[in-house]
Amino acid sequence: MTVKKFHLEHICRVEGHGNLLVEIDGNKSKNVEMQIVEGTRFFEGFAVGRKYDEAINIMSRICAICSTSHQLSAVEALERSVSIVPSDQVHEFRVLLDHGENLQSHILHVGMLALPDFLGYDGVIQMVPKYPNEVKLILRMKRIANDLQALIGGREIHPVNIRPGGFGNYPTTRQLEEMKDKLVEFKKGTQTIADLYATLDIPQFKNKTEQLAVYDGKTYPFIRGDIKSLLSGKITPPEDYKKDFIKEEVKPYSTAKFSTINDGEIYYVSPLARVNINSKFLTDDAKALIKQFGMKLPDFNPFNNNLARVIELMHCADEAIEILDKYIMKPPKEDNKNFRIKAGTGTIATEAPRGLLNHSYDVNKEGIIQRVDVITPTAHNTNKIEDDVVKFTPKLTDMKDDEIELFFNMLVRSYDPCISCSTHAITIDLRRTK
Amino acid sequence: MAKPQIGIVGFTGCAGCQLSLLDLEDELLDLLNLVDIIDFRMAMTGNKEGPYDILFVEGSIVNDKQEEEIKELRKKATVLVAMGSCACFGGVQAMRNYRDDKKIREAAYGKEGAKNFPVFQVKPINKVVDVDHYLLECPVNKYEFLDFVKYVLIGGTPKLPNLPVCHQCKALENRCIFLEDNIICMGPVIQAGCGALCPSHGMPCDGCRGSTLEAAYQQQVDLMIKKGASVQDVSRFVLKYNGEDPQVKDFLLKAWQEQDKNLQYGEEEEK
Repeated sequence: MTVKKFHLEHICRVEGHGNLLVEIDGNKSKNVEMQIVEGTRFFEGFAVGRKYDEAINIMSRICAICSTSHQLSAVEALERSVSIVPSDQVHEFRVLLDHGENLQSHILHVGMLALPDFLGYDGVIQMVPKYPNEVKLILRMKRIANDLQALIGGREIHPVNIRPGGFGNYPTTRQLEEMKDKLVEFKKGTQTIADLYATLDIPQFKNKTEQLAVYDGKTYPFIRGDIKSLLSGKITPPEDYKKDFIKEEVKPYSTAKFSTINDGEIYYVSPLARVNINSKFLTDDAKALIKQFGMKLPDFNPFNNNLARVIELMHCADEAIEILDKYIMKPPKEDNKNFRIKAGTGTIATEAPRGLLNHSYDVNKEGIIQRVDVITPTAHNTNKIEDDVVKFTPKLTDMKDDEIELFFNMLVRSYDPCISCSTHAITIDLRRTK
Repeated sequence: MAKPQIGIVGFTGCAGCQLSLLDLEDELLDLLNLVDIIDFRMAMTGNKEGPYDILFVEGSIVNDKQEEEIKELRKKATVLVAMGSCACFGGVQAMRNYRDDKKIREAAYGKEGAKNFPVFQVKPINKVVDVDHYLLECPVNKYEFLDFVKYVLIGGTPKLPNLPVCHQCKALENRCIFLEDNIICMGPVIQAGCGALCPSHGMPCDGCRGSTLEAAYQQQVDLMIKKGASVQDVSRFVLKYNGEDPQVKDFLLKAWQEQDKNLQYGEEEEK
């Protein structure tokens, strides 16, 4: 039997530098390595010694596509560390900002990173001559999502308007009204994208594994909640994420860590996990898309992450419009800017566009950070990607080599890995140096 | 004139500069009529590795392999542009250069494991190869990128205005949070061009665009102290995005060595 070796170097249309090595012997994979080769930066190292309010901007530099999620996770966890309680208004505007990011990241992925695979192009740039209207629509929707991020966060990438206890300033009623009109347009566009995705030929591969998502039992949460396991039904409070639950290990070929739960069980986090766990809290228009796609929940096909993203586009646009309506009627009030801080620990579980994100901090009474721990979605998923390759390889024997290569590329892309995130996911515990 | 062949590559950073270019939604299609993007891995497959008329480089250099790669890329590029704080000044990760890097690694992987990840200083692009132009901000200012491309297309040389953020902030008639509210702001020493984005949101300038020419760091620090900052506060504010900005580095090393003889700048020879 000959051993075929696929080494996909520097996978394209993902953010960051990752390779996938697969050795196929007969119809079985012999050796699978998801190699995250992005250079290390050690955020958890250099954020120690920073003041709690500065760290918000620094932590967002972990990743550009999820910079808002990192800032929101950092601000919420750091507020818990120093005992600041933000108002409901602040929470709602944070959700609004987060939805801006979800819309931006998802439309970027389904429209520009994934779609070219299904239509047979190198990238969205090459799609322009044949699909000018679709490309224009995608760019317009991306613009609207970015406008929402810029309106609340001050900038599309790495927001500047977030601070402990609230925001630098709030938009005017007029700006909120204009934003609402744009989001209504966005929703229409989402339906067009959904109709397009409903016609695509999506690979049918199932891998039944545990999935995790943030859960609060009332809403479809992105910022606050516990961690729910889909299959076991277990609910873990965010601060217990490492207590007999998530475990990380280092593999020599990758700068990202590999994680398992409950002593060795492979799991994954993603938009699909969120839809599986929280589908009953989706808005009506988003639920209608589940029907249109003919999805049966719980769904275990990683390629259906793209459908889950389209469903979330609808849901997040709906919810954003609802929040905008509320504050168009009743303009936002100034935040309380005076608070006294205490020493403490703050841990939070949030949902970045690509899945569960954990941030945890210890802060002393001067407000200086003593310990940082972050687990990003891509670090949660590295084991699962390898497991998928092992499980799916026996079914690929009829394919030609270049088809297999495309299949693996699409598989990795379906997780929308943002690799620059995952590399810093190496815990540096400075307390152990002494 | 033939369309310029453009490459956009990323080293170690957050990929925010590349994403910023994809955020040029309204201008992207027009731009594609004027230039050929031949290498942009984040956005497309089927990339060509040069030759490039203009190569935009994002991120900092953090290991030997990357150092070799950027040297090879430089040979294939007529014009090389460093894009964003990491490429221009090392970015947030350059803070590491001011700490005992080896200790951080050993704490993470143990003594043996640390050998897999050799100590290497975070380097901005110009520490490894010649850079023809710098585009500032974290992430890169997409309009500055667009201006640069326009200048190249008409055959001109783009110039940065040598003004501090305060200049643009005043023009917008913002309230000065530094002087009036005692909120420490880096505006007086930081290069303008962002339209005083942070101060316009009532937040202090974070310093992500690097120093203006001949920035008055001593006066800035005196004012910070007068407004209630401690020595530690000062170092934290000055050292954020621009660890390898020569002016920041000179100032910090001199000031720190006066304050504390034990503070050391990371060792370069250990690999």
